[in-house]
Amino acid sequence: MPDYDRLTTFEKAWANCQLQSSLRQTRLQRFDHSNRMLYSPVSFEYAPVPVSRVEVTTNWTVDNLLSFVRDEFAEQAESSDADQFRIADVPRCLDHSATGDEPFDYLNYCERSLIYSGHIDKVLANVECDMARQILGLLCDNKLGNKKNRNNVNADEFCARVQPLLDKHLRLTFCFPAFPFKDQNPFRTESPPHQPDLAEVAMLVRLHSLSLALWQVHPQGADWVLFCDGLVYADIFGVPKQAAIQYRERLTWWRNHLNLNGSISIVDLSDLVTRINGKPIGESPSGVFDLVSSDIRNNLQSLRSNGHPDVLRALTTLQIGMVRNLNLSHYLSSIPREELWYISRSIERPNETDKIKSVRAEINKRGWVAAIEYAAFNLSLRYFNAWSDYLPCTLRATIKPKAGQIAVPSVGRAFPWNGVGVLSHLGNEMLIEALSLSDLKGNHHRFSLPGQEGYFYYMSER
Amino acid sequence: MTDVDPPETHSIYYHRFNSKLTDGERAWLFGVVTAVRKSKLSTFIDLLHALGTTQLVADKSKLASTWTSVESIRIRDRIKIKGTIGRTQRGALSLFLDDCPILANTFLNETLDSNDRDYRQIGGSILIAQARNVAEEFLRTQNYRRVDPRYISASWPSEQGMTPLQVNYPGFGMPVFLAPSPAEQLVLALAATGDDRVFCSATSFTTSYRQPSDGSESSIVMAMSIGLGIKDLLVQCTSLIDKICEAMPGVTCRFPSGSIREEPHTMSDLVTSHSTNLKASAWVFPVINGVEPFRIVLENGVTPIEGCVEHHDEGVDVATIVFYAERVLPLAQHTEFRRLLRHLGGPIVANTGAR
Repeated sequence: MPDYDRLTTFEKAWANCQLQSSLRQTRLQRFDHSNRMLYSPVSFEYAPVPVSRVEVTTNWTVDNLLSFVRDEFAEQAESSDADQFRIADVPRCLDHSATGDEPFDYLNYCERSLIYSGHIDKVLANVECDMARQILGLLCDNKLGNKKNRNNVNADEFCARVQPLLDKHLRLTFCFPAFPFKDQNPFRTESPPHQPDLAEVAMLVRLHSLSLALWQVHPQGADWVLFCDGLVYADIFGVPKQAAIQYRERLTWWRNHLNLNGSISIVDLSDLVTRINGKPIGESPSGVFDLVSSDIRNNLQSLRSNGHPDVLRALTTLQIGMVRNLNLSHYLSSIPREELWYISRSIERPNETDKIKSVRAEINKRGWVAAIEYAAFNLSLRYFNAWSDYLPCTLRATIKPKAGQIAVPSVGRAFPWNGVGVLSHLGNEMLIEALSLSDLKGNHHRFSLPGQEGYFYYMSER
Repeated sequence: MTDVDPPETHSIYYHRFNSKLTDGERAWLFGVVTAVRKSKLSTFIDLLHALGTTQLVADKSKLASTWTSVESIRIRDRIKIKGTIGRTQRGALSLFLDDCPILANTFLNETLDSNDRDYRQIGGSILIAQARNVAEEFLRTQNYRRVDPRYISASWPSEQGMTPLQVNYPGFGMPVFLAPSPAEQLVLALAATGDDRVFCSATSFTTSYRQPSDGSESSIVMAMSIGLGIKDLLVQCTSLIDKICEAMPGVTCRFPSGSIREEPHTMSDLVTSHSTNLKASAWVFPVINGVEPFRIVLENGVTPIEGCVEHHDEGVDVATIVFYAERVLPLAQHTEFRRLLRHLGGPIVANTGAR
């Protein structure tokens, strides 16, 4: 059971939200008689969301699949060729114990260098004296936010969206799905799925720092709500559900340990889906989300069978991405590491043995199943306008920069859960990056926290 | 308005916390002169400041036009200087002055007007202290007796309402709470002293929102009286605001009585859970028949005073005034708070960094 006292206001409200209801932030005026003071707490209202299910058409499925894959996997399609032929070596590492102070050092460093260094004054020096535009200025800053927001977020649209929230003195609440579990691709990470490392912690710290920066211009402040999507993707990627739950709990523990409760809330995406569905997913008779998912899944399968060229192309891109995200660690005991690397990169080689061919076929098959399931799930969220209808008054953030959504700070070339945390010091700077294990070059020191499985962070020997 | 430092010039505190002092960097510093050594071409000054002692070097050729002022600097003078970090011929890390030092008698204006972050905060604290002083003086003239409240409690009743700030300090052995207000202590003082009027100057700690200019920590002056009705109370509050406006340095606004809006009619829905949090006042005084909260909103949205009148059985009225010192800072056009004026338009309130 979570410690109720450590839950954030959003998490408490989320826990009490009814099925097929939305959660809307409001601000009340109250007089506290004990203290003889007026105050204005945040409150949450629940409103029923009318849910109707119309059969999902093939055209809707095609249109949304194409835009979904374009948004989510454009970068992968652009970058995949460049590194396809680099065989992942096992990094050579010397093992050490981590002190556990590193997250606190990084938190201090980020607060000092990003918030109390005069950096914000510099960022805002050239921004119009308008609160919404100043907020956007911070979100677009390379160090505080994400510079890709400059191209992806239209300033006028952003201001039109945010101004009503500012007028009502609401906290800005940014929601995004992320943090499923530690990736089990052995070329990316080597910790168990339930163990977040310094990369994830660094992301929490960066989000918190951005909240602190936003407080400098918006007196009501900003929250980040992380919708952990591990439970909904565990089956798809071959990771135990219990590991996804433990990962979320561990992440929450770090959040509490660093005292970031004032800016970061952590909930589960599966709860949002259950709320839309009106009952637990998969329960019979099916809820609306299950039915819509099923329609989309059937549409995708028939489009694939019929050889619809655009759909095939999109699903292939998706399938390649899925293969890289699958739990592949157990194949290392049956085929050589190098062969698994080629399979994971979807590169076919001449003279493969029957064993390798059969593993490749199995992984590809799992990739196709995952691609259809992943697409069906995400298109179902689109179908129900999950974020805007069930979480009105929130702003949609994203880990993958794309048009119309606010990209969160980047902490390296990989997403935190898809890589390992690499710590480095450059003069007075403290840098934590999320990198694929395969991107670690040269000898490294590898640090683990006493009593915990896996590795907490890496450090180059240089 | 003083000149604005170029962006690369930071206080020496900035350099201390962000990087090691590096030759060639520009910095500013203020402190007390502890030694002056003069040579033909230079004057060397030891300056004691919050982080230690730093040697200053004033070069006659560079500061020729103001050299008389430099030569007039004596031990125990308080000065603010700007300079470039470098080394003397003997290799001692020093700050080489770029301008003539600013002397203490011009500090206040510079502090109140400064764009520099360190000075802004000091300027704000000076204004808050001044506003509190005026409020305290005013209440004394109105025959309120001052009491000193306590701030820390090991337990806090889990009622709905303002949430106290919790302190998790290992030295205490358990979490403790910082009081959002000294109200109950004042109620008890009314009962214990036999006085009709008591007040305290206090710091209020809470994680609950109040106003944009408030923080988790707010400077308040709280007064409590028996027998004042809401009309008398508003007259008293108006006089208090007038006194504060008269006394504050840099206040450019004046608020004639007509510009003050009373909002008692909108406050009726604000009273929450009467039955659960009467506690001290119900224990000390007869049963409460009702509570009338009020808030004084100036025409630009500044809300310096809030309070309430409790109506008890047998015609006893217990009135409370809470003066929030930080909230008058926008009136002083102080740099740090000038921007807050933009956010004070509506009646709904909130504070920084809290829920």
